[in-house]
Amino acid sequence: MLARLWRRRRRLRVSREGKYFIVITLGVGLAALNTGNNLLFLLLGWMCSVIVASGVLSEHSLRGLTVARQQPARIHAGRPFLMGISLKNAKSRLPSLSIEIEDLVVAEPEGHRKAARPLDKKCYFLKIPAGRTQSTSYRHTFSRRGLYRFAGFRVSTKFPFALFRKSRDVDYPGEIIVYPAVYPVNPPAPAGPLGGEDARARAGRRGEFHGLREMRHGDDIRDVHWRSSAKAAAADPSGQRLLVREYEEESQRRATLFVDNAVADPAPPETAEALERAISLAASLAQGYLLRHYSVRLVCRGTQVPFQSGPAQLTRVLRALALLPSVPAGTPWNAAADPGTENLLVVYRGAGARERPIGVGRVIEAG
Amino acid sequence: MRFSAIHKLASYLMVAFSFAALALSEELSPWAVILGGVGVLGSWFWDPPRVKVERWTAILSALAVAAFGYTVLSALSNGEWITPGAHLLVFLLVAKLMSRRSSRDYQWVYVLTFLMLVAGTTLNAEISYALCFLGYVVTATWALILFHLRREMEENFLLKHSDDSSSERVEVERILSSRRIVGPGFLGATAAVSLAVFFLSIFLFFLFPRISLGLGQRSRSRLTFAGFSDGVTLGGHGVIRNDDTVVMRIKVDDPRYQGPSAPELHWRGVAFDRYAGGRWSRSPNAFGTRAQREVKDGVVRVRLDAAGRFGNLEREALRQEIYLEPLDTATLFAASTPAAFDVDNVIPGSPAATIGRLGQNDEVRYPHGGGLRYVAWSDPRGAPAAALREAADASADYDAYRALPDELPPRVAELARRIVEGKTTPYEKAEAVAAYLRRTYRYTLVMETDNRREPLDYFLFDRREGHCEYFSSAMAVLLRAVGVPTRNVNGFLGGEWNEYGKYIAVRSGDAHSWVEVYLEGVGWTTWDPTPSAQAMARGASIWDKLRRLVDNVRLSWFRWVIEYDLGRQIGLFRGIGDALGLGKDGFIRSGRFTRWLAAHKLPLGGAMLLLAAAVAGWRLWRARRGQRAAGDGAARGAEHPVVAIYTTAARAMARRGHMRPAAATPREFAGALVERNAPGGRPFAGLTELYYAARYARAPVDVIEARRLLDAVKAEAKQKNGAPARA
Repeated sequence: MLARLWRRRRRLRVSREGKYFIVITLGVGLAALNTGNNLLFLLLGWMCSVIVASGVLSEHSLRGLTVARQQPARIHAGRPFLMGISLKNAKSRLPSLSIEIEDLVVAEPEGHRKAARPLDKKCYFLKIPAGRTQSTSYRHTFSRRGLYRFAGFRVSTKFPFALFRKSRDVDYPGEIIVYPAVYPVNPPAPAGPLGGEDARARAGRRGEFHGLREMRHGDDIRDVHWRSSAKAAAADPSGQRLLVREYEEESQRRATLFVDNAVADPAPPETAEALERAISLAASLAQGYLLRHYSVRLVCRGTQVPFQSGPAQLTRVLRALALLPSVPAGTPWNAAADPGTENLLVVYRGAGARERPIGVGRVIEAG
Repeated sequence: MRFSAIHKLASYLMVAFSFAALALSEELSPWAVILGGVGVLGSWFWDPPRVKVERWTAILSALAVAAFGYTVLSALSNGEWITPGAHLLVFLLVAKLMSRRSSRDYQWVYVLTFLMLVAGTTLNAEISYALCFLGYVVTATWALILFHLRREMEENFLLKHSDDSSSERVEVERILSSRRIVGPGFLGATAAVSLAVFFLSIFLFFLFPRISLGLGQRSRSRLTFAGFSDGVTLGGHGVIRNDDTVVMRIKVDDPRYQGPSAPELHWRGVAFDRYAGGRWSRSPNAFGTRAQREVKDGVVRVRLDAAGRFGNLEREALRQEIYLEPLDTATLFAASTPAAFDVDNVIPGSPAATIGRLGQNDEVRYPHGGGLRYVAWSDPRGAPAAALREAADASADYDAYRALPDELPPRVAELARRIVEGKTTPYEKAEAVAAYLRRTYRYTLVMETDNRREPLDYFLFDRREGHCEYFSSAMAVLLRAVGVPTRNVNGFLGGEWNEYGKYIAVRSGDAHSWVEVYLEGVGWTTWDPTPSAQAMARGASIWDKLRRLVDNVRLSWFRWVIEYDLGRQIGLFRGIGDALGLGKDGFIRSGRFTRWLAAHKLPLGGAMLLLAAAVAGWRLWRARRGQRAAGDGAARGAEHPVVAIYTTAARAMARRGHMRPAAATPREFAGALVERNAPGGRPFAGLTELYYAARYARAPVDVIEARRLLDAVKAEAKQKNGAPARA
């Protein structure tokens, strides 16, 4: 059982130098047995001791380490990002030397990987003094959008003599949503005479006050309603939550993006690629509209994101697109077009003639 | 000290110790030692940018090929591979040191030093190898760890990442010049590791089974010395008594023969029966050594005739454990008169297996490759005085020991008759001759010979002074002239008591000659006619004490390392087992342990309970401490890099006059700054959110984004703050 536990927690790989060292050790051992030369036995004892010391020191170097991941706010497919890794040496006296950290990915989208495997990038720490934390980062690019799950880290070292690489897997689960690739794109000019503007234009910075809700990541700090938050805190001391003002939608400029995510079953690989391009175009269009202060809605087969504007809406749209699955043809759209707003249908090349959402006139085919 | 400098120093120390292991073997030619040493020292300065190493690479490679060819030719012509190979290693080491540029070159240097250490195991069995080995182990640990770090730096170090451009490599030289990577603490800790490695090596050394096939073994180089020789020629050698080379070390069990004032023993080696032309030799008429051989528990015991004097050899005879240096003779020494020899690990069929079968005049020979350990049993006191006095003349069987050379002048025999006048028994005659010689002649080490004269005649009638060989030869010949069988014996006298190792160190300068006289019914008896004034003054100065201490270390080295074999290993383990009470009569197996346990049930039970409580308490304390560390979320979160970034930003805002009121939370403070439209307020508000996420929510937070916001806070605060001043 102990051996099983050790196997689960530790890995030991013999390096090239280690292989040579072991072969030479065996050679010296044979020579010692053959000749009875005691000095060769002494040398053999030293070589074996070096192997033992190697195991002990590498174990000590790996002990007492805590790893944490600092991931960037947004990661887009095909775009490199920096993943922050911080390593703390919790030992009270001795430093850890020559430590490598690899992120372990459990699964990639579409089940390409099942078991937790290290990414091809690693972070190297030369020396972490006792009780200190050091941070570095690795650059990586996810080629596909979707949800990535991290199981933890593989902490390894070749210290002290590079004869062996000893590694230990530590749990540090996490998820990363890789958004679709976005690129600068100009949204098409407004189709109608109103130019996408609704007659229900309202005065005020962001429309009329609608109500209060709990603060979410991305909300503007200016929208915090301090008095209500204080009351809520007084009523429920355990839940320290902040309440923000919610406004009526800014509907003077609104756009709905329809993304056709239906594919034939089974879908040929080129269709999947074409769908990815269409999703990427939709994300770029959403970004373009939101930068122009539109209120944007995303409608797909099986999913929709209601109208909102601002950076938080971009995150919501990107998140929905990142996780957008392909569905069988015939799956109904989640909403119809909103008359009087911009309605765009993004389809992938080769999608063919399909049932369109009611009221959508403009179709963009992703190249 | 810079990292690269420490690495270089550690590597050179490693080189120095491996080179010394070979250089001190005395097997390398002096030129190789001198040139190698100069080359190693010179190569310290032979590195970039002082020298363009790459220009020399081709030349050094060509020289290496030439050296290899020379080595092969030399080895083929001499039939000896190890010494030429060692010369080649020295050359290759110097060449590699002079062409080192990167860590890969250092790697080859380490390989070469290791090979030199391996060669040293064969060429240098002296204590100097032990010192070099210890130095090598310590410095190798340093050098190999530093080498590993250096290579990791070269391979991994360091990619400087940035968001907006591709990663760039950090200059390795800058890191290698760093003084912060290794310091005294690092070197101290690694030195402790080295010592642990060293002691573990020693432990494993004793543990490895000593099952030797004995193939390809190279003998230790033998010691040729002037003092003792397998033959005596009067006037053959000069002043020898000052030679301090230790030839054997003897541990005697009997306390009467221990200590600095113990009586000197005659360490008998060889004996000669024929005297002619001033030379002693063995004649075919001399008796062969009569010996009985017994083999028991892997030990060959050779019993000589003298063993018959003892009812129980082990109890009555003087036991001596003798450590013989590699001598240029196969003779086994023992205190006079030797009774038996025990030699273990005699390989059947080898020349050494003939022990006790070859030799004459009670000599025992044992051909051995290097130094040897054996046990001898002797009768140093001899027969009782009454038995000696009553001994009759020997029979005609001993005529070979009465033979005199024709060229001996008649006046020698006349002198003999005059000395023994009135003496009837051989014992009385021998006593008279020995007393006469001691009384009449003087001991000297100054040689003076007359080649025209018979040497003994010249000594007795003209020179009247000489060294031990003259005295012993004179006594032997004078007694033969009056019909008493004698033989001349060569060996060593006395020795120096080593108070540290409790043994007698016999040196080359202790070589001695004396006489054995045959007495019917008693056997061969030991007589020493040399005046005692010959004893060398061995003082108690610090130097002498130090010399004895070193000799003791050297004996331990040979005893426990060089000569450590299966028998000694079994003995060691048996001794440990006995010490732990695991022996047959030991504490555990004899049942005494069980009885002791039964008698001390209560205190033992209490002690066990206390121990268990202490262990449990300690574990609980450890667990609590761990829980405290884990449960202290604020403390853990406080170590997040974003917290430090936020603190820096808050300090920057404070410098601009925006202090957080004690009653306000960071979020309220940030909101207020935004409301006031304070410079840097917006990025500060964003940073505050990241701060909350990192410290309290422990959510993944983008450190890079936090740093960007910090820069924005600083930039905005600086810009807007400065504007009114300019206006």
